Amino acid sequence: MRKVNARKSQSFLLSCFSEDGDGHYAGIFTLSGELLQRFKLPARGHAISLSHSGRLAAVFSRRPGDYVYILDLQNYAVVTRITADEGRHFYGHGVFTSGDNYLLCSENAYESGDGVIGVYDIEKQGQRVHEMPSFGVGPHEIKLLNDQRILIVANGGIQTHPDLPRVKLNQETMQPNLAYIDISSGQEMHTHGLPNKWSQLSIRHIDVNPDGEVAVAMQYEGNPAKSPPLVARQRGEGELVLLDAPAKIQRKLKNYSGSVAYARDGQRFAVTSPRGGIVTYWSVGNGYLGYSSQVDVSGIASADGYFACSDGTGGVTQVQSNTLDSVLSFQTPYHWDNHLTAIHG
Amino acid sequence: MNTIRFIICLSFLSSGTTYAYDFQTIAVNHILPAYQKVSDETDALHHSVGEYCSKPADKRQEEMRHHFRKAFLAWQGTQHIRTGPVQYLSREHRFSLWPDKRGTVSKHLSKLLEDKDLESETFKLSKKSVAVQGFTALERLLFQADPVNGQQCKVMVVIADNLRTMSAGIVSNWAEGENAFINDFSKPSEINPIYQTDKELAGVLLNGFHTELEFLVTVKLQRLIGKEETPINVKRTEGWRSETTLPAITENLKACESIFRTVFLPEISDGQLKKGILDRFSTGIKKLESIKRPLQAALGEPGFRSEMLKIQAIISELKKLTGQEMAKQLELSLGFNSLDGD
Repeated sequence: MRKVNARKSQSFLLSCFSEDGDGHYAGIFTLSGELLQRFKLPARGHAISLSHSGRLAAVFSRRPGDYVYILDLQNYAVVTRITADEGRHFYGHGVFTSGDNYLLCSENAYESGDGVIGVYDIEKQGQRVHEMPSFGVGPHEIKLLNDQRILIVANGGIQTHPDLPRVKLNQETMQPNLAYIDISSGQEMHTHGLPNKWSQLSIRHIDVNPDGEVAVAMQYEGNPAKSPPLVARQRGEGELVLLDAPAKIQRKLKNYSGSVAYARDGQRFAVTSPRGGIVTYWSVGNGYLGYSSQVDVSGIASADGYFACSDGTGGVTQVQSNTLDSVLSFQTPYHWDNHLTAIHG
Repeated sequence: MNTIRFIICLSFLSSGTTYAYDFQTIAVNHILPAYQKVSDETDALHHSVGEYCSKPADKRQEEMRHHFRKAFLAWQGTQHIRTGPVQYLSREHRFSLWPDKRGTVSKHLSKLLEDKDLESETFKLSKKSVAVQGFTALERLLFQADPVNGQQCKVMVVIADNLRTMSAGIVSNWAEGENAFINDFSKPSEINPIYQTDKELAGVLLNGFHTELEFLVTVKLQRLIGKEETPINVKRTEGWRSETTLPAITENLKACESIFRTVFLPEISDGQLKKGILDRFSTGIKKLESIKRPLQAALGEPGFRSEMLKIQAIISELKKLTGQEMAKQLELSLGFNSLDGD
């Protein structure tokens, strides 16, 4: 059996997936679709984050989740299972700090409704050692800036409670934001909200390019007949810049985006829209570039010269990041879950 | 009924464009009557709760419970519709919160019964927890063994009123005014803000009814099957207090059959597939309707579990036939990520 080794030149894909009949897994695939290993999950997973060394991966449960698995990718072993602390649940995303020392997780302190970032010590079998505010409600995807000292949090603004798992409790009073946090002090550096008329745009998923620009993918909780921008970019202390696709394309997005990823050169990014069955492509300088079609697409990761896009029907496509030409890479019998992670060789 | 009549007239006046799927007729013949029934039944329920609470009497209590069952079953007949105004303002969750694994309804109902704001003229149930706004909370009060007290009656009236208001709101949002949802539903197009193609909307309807079949198999029926070595706990089934567990499942399946006949049957060319699906609907419904005894009595009978397993197997086959073979023939796809909210 081939093993994952980030020092060698081969790349891999990681994703959670489900089988018909309710089996849920995290899997490691080659770029040609060979399943190298899978790990059974107790409930549906969501995102997988890779540590800086490429040695570890964290598999996050879907909200309101109660588990995170830390996997050793070289030995195909579960290192530890982290269980949500009393009064907290996971939101499905997290990030390793440099040196693979700590894992930061987006969480809900659900009795107060406050968003928090849980800090887990990897050396101590994933022990929860600290917590800091996320400076918003409903934190979802979190990323570190390239200096590894500043955490960016997509505070979606939606309050939920595990007693009512899929119910959104505050759609009329949402205040989503993008928060910058100094991880050494846990202090808020600056936050970036949306214009009042778009306060029901939930900021959910983000990616950061090598220049520190943040690409933002959002979901709209307001009147479905409206068609607000779902994509934004933001940099440093600047405001969120909302980006529109042409009206015809904008309507196809169904007010919902699944995930976002920069191309490896950081000059373009792609946003998936599972409800619309399309992926839209954006340039850092020039905005909307075009789209490709793929039924139920949600996961996206950048590889050399292309985006890998996974969907709920089992397919993974390659879309060339310069031409946007799309070709089916491989088909599996699995429902690929929301997010896709690439391990670059 | 005036709203429905108005829409039916409108459909005759505006029919002229031919669709592979005739969504206006689907709305008029299937969706609106189902919601109108919920609206009528919750209105009657609200009235009977008011009558009982103004002068409690055994006969009035029985009438009130009868109207609860009718309204609750009418609601079951709409649960396969997972698009449109039922999703506005979290209505789908406010109507009913089941399964309630963490005892949320009980917890919030206790709080509500002690809420001093109940006396206030400005009290609004819609501002309270979704857990106490619908059938699940109302059933606990209406079918309790102890006599209903004054405070409980106040809560029963406000919940029944909330159900009536939400139901009327759904009918109104579908059918009334220039922004009536039926306008968007009837004519998918590139400039339609909700549905751009017929195929997309057909897929939404398929996903709704397939999700309902899935829920029947994995949750509602599974709770009547349990594990072989363990007795079935009736309290884990939906509607056990009002003895509507099996009638609710029957209504769900009948509603799925109805939308199948209205939306998809005319589009299927494969006669064998049509027959396979219709036969299974028919058998499943007949089997469910043949159980006449109260659930508690039926549970103790030796053949009950195996009969539930057979019904579960039939609905599983329906899931496969519609979700795979039919979906493939009609070039529709079941969502996975697109049904998500993350």
